[in-house]
Amino acid sequence: MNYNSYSFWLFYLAVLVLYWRLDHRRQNKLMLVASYVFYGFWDYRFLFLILLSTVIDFIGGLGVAGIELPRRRLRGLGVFLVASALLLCGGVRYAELWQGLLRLDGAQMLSALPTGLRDLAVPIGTAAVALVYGALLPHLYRLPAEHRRRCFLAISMVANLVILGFFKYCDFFIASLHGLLSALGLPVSLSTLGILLPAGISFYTFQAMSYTIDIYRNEVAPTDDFADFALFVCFFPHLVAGPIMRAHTLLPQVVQPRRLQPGAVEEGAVLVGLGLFKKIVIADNMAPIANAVFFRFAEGKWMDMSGAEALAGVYAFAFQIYGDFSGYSSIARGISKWLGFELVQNFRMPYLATSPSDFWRRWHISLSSWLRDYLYIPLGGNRGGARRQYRNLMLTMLLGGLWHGASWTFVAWGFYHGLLLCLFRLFRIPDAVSGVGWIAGARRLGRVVLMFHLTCIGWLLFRADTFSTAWNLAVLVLTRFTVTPMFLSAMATIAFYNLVLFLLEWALDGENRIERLLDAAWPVQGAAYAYVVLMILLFHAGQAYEFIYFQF
Amino acid sequence: MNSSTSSSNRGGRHRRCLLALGVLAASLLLLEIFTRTWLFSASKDFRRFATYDERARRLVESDGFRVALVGNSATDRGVDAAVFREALQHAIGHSIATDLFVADRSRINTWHFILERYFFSQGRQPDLVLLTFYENDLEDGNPIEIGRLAQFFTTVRDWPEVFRLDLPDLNQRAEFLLASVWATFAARERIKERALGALIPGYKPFAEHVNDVNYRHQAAQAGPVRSGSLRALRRLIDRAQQTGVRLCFVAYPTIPSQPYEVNPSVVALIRASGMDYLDLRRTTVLPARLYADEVHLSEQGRPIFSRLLADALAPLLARQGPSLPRQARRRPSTLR
Repeated sequence: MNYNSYSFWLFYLAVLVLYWRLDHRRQNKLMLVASYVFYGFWDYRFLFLILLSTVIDFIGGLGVAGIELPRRRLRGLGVFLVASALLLCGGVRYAELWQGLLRLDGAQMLSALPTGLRDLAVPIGTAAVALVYGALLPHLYRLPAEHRRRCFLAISMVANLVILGFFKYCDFFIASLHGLLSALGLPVSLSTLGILLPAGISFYTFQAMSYTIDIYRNEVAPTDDFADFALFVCFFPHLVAGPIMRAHTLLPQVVQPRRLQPGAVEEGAVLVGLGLFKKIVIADNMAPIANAVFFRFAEGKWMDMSGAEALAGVYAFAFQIYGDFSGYSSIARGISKWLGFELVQNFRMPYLATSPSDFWRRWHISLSSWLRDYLYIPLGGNRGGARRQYRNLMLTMLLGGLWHGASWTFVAWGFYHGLLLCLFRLFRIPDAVSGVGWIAGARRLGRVVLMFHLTCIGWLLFRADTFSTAWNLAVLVLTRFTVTPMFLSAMATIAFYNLVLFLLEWALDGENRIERLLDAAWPVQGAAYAYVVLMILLFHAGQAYEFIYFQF
Repeated sequence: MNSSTSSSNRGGRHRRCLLALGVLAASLLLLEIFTRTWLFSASKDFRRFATYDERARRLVESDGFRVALVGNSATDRGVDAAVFREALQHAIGHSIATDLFVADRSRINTWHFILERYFFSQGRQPDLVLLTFYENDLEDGNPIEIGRLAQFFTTVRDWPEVFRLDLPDLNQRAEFLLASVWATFAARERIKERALGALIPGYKPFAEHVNDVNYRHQAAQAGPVRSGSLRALRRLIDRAQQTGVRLCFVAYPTIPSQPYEVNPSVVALIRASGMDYLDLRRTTVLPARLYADEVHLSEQGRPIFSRLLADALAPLLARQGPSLPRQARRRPSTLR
C-alpha cells in the first residue's frame, strides 16, 4: 500500500473520517490499529518484529528511568508477545483457514493450523526469551541505579541491533565472508539464508533506539502507556521511510490530545500535492531514464553508449532519488498534519548545497541529525584534534552508508561522503559563500554546481549494483563524452520535469515557507495548483515504482 | 486586535484558496473539453475505434463469408485486409468480406470486450473471428490498457464483469472507474506523448529507446507472464459458443532469431472447445529482413503474411465450413 496508490488513499480517507469523530484515547487506538494494518499489507509476519522491538524498548525505557512494571503487566506483555508470535509467525495458513470456515469444513480448518515444530519455532523461541527475560527482570530492577540504567540500555540496544543485523545484514556478511575465504583460496561452502528484508526496519529500529537513549540521557521521560508507546514506534505516515522522529518531538504529540491547527488542512494539501508531484511526476519519470543507462551497464551492453548519455542517466537518478524520497517525506508530513501531528522536515533543497556539510544539513535531515547525535558526538565529535575528528566523521559516514543497505557499494558511498567532509575540513573550505553582488552570486553558483556533481559521483556508487559498473560508467563519462541527440533529448526531458519544481521549491524555501503560496494572489495560487495537478494527471509515468527507501 | 487580524487573514486566505481551486477546476474542465473535441478527433486510434460499431454492422451485413480480424499492432501492421481478402477468395473460390478490429497493445481481455461490444451483444455474427496472438497474449495476468478499455470498449453494463475477471486489483478498478467518466484521464498517456513529442526535440526515438531497454531488462528478469490461468480465454470461447460465432486463434510469426512458446494448455483449451488454432510461428516465408522489429512486419512483409494467413486458413475452412464450395478444399501452398 504505497502513497501513490488508490488503495492507500481509500484507507487513509476511512481512517481520517473516523479519526476526528473519536476522543483522544480512541484516536490513538484507531491509529495504532491502522498503522499495523498499513504495515501488514507488506507482510503481516514482520509485524511481529515491530511488536518485539516495541515490547523490549517499552520495558527498557521504563527500566532506564527506574520505573518497575508490576508483575501483572509484565505477564500481560509476555502473553501478548507469545500470542502475536503464534498468530503472525506460527505458520497458520489463513487463506485455507478462511476457506474452511466458509465451508464449515473441520478437516480443512485443522490442516490450516501449524503442523510441526518448525512452524512453532518462533512462538516457542519467543516464549523462552520472554520467560528468561521475565525471570531476570526482578534482578535487574534491584541493581544500583547506574548499573540498572546501563543494563536496560544495553539490552534495548543489543536487541534492536540483533534484529536489524540479522534481517538486514546476515546474508550480506555471509556472502562477504564467502567471497573473502574464496579469494584467500579457502573454498568453504557457505550459503546465504535468503532472509527477506522487512520494510522500513532501519527506520523504526533507529527511532526505537533513540527513545531509550534519550531516556538514558534524561532528555525524555518515558511513557508507561504501552499503546501510546506502540503508536510512537509504528505511526504509519512515517513508518516505512521516515522521517525518523525523536521521542521528544513525537511522543508528546501521541500522549497529549491533538487538534487540527488553523491552516493545517491547506498546508497539508500543499505538502501532499508537492509530495505526489515529486514521486509521480519526477521520480517515476526519471526512473526509466536512469534505469536505461544502469541496466545497459549491468548487462554489459554499454560499449556503444556515449559518456554524455551515461552522465544523463546519473543526473536522472539524482532527481529520481530526490523526488522519490523527499516526495515520500512531504506526503508523510502532509497526511500527518491532517491528523494533527507535526513531523520534522526531512529535506531542504539539497541540490543547492554549497559543501558536503551543507548537503547533509539538507538531505535526509532526520537521519543525519540522528547519526550526529547518537554516533558522531558520542564518538567525540569535533573534540580531540583533527585526526580524531576525521576518524569520527569517517566512522559515522561509513555506518550511515551501511544503514542504507547491505552492500559494499553503500559502504563505499558512505566512505566517499566521509572523505568529502574530511577534505572540505582539511582544506578549510567554508560551508557558505559570503558576499553580495554578481561575483559572489557566480561563486555561489559555481559551488552549487560543483557540489551537485560531487553528489552525483556518490549517487553513481549508490545506484550501481557493482563497483565495476560504477567504474565503467565513470570512465565512459570521462573518456567518451560525446554530445548525441539521445543525450540532448534526455537532458531536455530531465529539465522539463524538474525545472518548474525547482522554481516552486525555491519560492517556498523547500517546505519552510508554504504560507508564501497560501498567501499569494489567487491567480498565482491557481496557476501553481493547476500546474501540479495537471502534471500529476497527465505526466504520470506508465509504471508506478515502489519508493526506493522502502528497501532500507 | 491580533485575533481579529489573524481571523481576517484566515478569511482572506480561505477566499483566495477557493478562487485558486476554481482556477484548477476550470483548467480541468477546459482540458476535458479539449480532449473530447480535439484530441479524440485528432488521434488516429480514437478515430478508428469510433468507427468499429458501424464497420462491424457493415461486415455482418455483407455478402459472402464474413471474417473479422481482431488483434493488436502485430495484426494491424501484419495484415493487409485487401490482400488477405483477395488471397482467401482465391484459395476458397468464394466471396469474402473482411475487416480489422485492432487496438495497440491489446490482449485477450480487450479482445473479449471488442467482440462483446461490437458483435456479441448486438446479435452480430460474423462467420469467423480471427484472433492473432503472440506469446502469452491469451493468458490472464497481462497488463491491460485501462483507459482505452474504459472509454471505448466497455459500457456500464460490463463493469461487474470487468471487475470480476479483468481488473481484480482495487487500484486498477479505481483507475477504470475514473477513466470511464473522465476522458482526459483515460487519454492521458496519449496527451503526454503528444506534449512531450511537441516540446522535446527527438523525444520519440529517445522514449522508444528508453522503453525498449527497460522492457527488455524487466522481461529478462521476470520472463513472460505465465499465470497459468486462462479465465479470460475460456470466457471468450464460452461467449462465442453461446452466440454461435466461430473463432480461429492464430499464433503470429516473429523474427526467426526470437522464437516464442505457446502455453500447451492454451492450445488444449482451444482444441477442446472445438475452435480453430493455426500455428504460424515458424514459417519459412518471412525471413528477418521482412520485419520492422522483433514482432512487427515491415511494409514488404505485410502482403506476404496476409497471403500466408489466407493460405493457412483455407484448408481449415474447407475442412470445417459446410457452406464453403468444393474448390475451397484445395491444398494451400505454404501451410506447415
